[in-house]
Amino acid sequence: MPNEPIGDVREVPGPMQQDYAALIAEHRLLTQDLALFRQFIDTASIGIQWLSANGTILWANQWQLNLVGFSAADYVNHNITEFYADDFARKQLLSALSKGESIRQCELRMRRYDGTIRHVRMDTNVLSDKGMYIHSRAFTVDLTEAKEAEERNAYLAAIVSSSDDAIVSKTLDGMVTSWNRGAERLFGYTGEEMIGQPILRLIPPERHQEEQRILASIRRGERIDHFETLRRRKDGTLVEISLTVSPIIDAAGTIIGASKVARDITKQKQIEREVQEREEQFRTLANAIPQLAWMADETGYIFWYNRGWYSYSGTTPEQMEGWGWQTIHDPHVLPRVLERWKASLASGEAFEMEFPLRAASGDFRMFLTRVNPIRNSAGHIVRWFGTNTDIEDLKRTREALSESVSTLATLNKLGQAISGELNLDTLVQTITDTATRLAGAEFGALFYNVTNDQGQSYTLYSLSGAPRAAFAQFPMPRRTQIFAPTFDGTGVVRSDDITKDPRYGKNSPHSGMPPGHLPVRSYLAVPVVSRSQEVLGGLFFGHPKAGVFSDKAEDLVRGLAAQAAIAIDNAQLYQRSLDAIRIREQFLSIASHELKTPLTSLKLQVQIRQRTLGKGEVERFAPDKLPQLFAEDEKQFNRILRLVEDMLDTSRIQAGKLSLSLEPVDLHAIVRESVDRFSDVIEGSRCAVTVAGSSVIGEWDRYRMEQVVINLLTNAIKYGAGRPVVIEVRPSGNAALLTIRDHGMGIAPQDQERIFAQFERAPGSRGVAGLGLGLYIVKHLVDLHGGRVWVESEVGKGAAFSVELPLKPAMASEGNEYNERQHTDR
Amino acid sequence: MSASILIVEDDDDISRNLRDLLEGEGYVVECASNGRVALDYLRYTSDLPSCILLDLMMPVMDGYGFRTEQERDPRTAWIPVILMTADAYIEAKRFQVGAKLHISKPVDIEAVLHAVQRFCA
Repeated sequence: MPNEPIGDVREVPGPMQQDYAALIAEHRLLTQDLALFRQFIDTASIGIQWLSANGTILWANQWQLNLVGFSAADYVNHNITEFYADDFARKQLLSALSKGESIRQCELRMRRYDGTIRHVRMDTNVLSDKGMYIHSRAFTVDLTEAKEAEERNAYLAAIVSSSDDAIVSKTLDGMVTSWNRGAERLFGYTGEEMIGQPILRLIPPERHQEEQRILASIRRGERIDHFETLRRRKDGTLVEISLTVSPIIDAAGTIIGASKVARDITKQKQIEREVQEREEQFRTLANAIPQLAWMADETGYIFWYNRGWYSYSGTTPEQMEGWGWQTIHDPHVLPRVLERWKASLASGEAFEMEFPLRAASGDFRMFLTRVNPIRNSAGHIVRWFGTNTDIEDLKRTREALSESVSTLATLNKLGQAISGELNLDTLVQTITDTATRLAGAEFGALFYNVTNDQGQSYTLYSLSGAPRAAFAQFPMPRRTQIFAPTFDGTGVVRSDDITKDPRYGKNSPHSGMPPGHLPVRSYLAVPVVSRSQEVLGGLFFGHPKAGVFSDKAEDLVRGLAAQAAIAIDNAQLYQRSLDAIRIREQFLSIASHELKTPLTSLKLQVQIRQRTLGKGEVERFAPDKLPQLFAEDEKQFNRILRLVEDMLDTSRIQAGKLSLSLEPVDLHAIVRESVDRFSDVIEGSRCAVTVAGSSVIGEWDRYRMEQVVINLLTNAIKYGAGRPVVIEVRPSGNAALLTIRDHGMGIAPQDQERIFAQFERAPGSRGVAGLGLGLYIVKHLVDLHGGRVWVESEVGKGAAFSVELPLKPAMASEGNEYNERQHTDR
Repeated sequence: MSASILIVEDDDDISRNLRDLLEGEGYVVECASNGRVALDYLRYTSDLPSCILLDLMMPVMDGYGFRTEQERDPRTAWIPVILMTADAYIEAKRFQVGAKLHISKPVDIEAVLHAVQRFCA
């Protein structure tokens, strides 16, 4: 506003000075009022500006300047349209301004200095003087907060409106004040139908009490959360809902109503019922089965265990609830269990694992656990159903089986190693070494019986883990209480500490281990018994520490002993076969050798005669000389024949085919006849043979008796060293006694048994003619007659062979049967 | 002067037949029934044989024993030996024993006569 100062009063003529002063005073007052007024306008709380017809800003008050955020310099003289965001608004403004029209309640978006937008409302009026347009005056109000509040409300309203949930508000008397689309859908009533109506319309009569309770809670300022209940739709059907009710509180804090959110939970309820049904089924099943079973929710929280669980673990539901099951797990295994369980929970994959669980007794048993997820119809996991099956027995069986398998494998390998070994010495050493190692013993010994070809039995032993010297000075272990079961083959002896065993130390002279014996506390002894139940020997193991031999060691050694028995049996059989073959070869060698001798004479005799004939020397063949020639040949023939007969007899005896034809025979007569028949041989030997005694008649095989006599006689002469031989026959009770006594080299006691065996000849008789079958045949023939033959002799003092023959051999009459029985022994 | 042959053989019949054969050919024959008897004879005779027909299997002292002793004595070591034996492995025995020849039993008289002719000159 132009503000021209009035001139100084002193320049005005005197008489007018008072009026002038009055004028000035009035002017000052007016000026003061003007300033006041101007300040009033300037600081008014509303944007005021003057705009020209084309929109130029002529003047703006501070409020307007604050509104746009510009200084006067940057605002005045600019065009108003610069500060408004919308084209339409700008056009409208300009149009109104140019036309000199007022603008009423125009809402515009104003752009501030920083580009931010504020919502404003503008009113304008026009200043004109005498009908002439001066300028427009604009009044602008910032609506932004109000606008925003409006928008927020609109947004909230939209949320409520578009929510699937039914959102309803009511007064404290239960009258509906708002009703969203969700409510329309859920209940079937429109907003118009429900607003102003009582909410009770929705509530089935039997539930009206609920509403009272709800309102009572609301009045107290309480919320009701997820309250499940039933409501009735417009069409009369019931719907299951979950209700959340909150008090509506005004700015003053007064409860003015309630807001209800209702969610249709029919589907949810159905799913829940499905799950419950399945739970129920599982519960029933679980309580009927012996396994442990339980149910967990989707987080793995176990909320139910079956009867089996509690009875096995001896726990209470309080102890077990949720994750309490961990207390009956083995703490060493639990971390892995948890890891796998949590992985299943996360991945939704079925869980399977074996782990131990503690029983009420405190012992652990192994369980196979299987847990399967249960999904609702939407495919989400809502439950886990688990079972634990006791596999402790199975585990033990499995372990025992695997132990057995490994034992069998070990034994198998060993079996292969020893089964091929036919050399007895190597075999027993291998067995002893292996068994000692397997048993975990410090030292081991295998005692085994061998029978030589004379039929004598003695015990050898092989050692492992100790030198022979350690045992050499001790006698063989005797049949004491400790050792007896092994030597008798009755059983295994195992002791964790033999020195504390009641059977130990009972026998003199040492009452225990002889001094200098290797220290033994752990002791294990296993008999080695053949297929035919014959005790072949025993395996003995010792260790200086106590408690060394386990069940497994015993099992292994038992298995090995069985295999060893077979192997030893085989080795011995093999040895015997080799021996038999050797004997047979020897026999063949001797037999062919023996046969060649008479054959040589025979051949010489024939060839010499041929040669003589060829030379024309016929005197040799004079008739009186011929008998002699034939006798010479006959002699050789008989020698051959006898050899062959002996061989055949031996063969028949062995095959059990030798039989007797019995008749009354005078033994004395047979002796006399034999002596006669062999007179020339006797002469040749220069042994004087005397026959003594008397007739004894018995029922015998004549031919075989001759054989007996001749064989014994031949022997006496052969070994008689030219000294007299006496043969005596006399009765002896129910039998005949035949004795042949010579005074030759005699037979040592250790050979007296042997000589009756096949192919046996007296030692030092290598060169003596004969097959060595004579006495073997004699013994058999005498046995066949039910008699017996024996010898009494001393080296250098000759020998006396005696044969006792029952007069009527009762056993012999059973003939072949007796033969057979005889021969199975062999 | 006829050649003299020593027969060392335990079987009397064989000895007799051989003596019969060889005496028939003009040889002087001595018989010994085993190695010991043969050695004794050789030790004490002044008329050593030009060859020896030797059996191996004899009592008291066999052919091997006889040969060992015979070779030890320079007086007798030179006498050639013809082996007669029923043994199967005669070839090996011949070398073992150091005989000039071997004849298997039952002996063939031609073989005997040839052998004697050859070695007992």
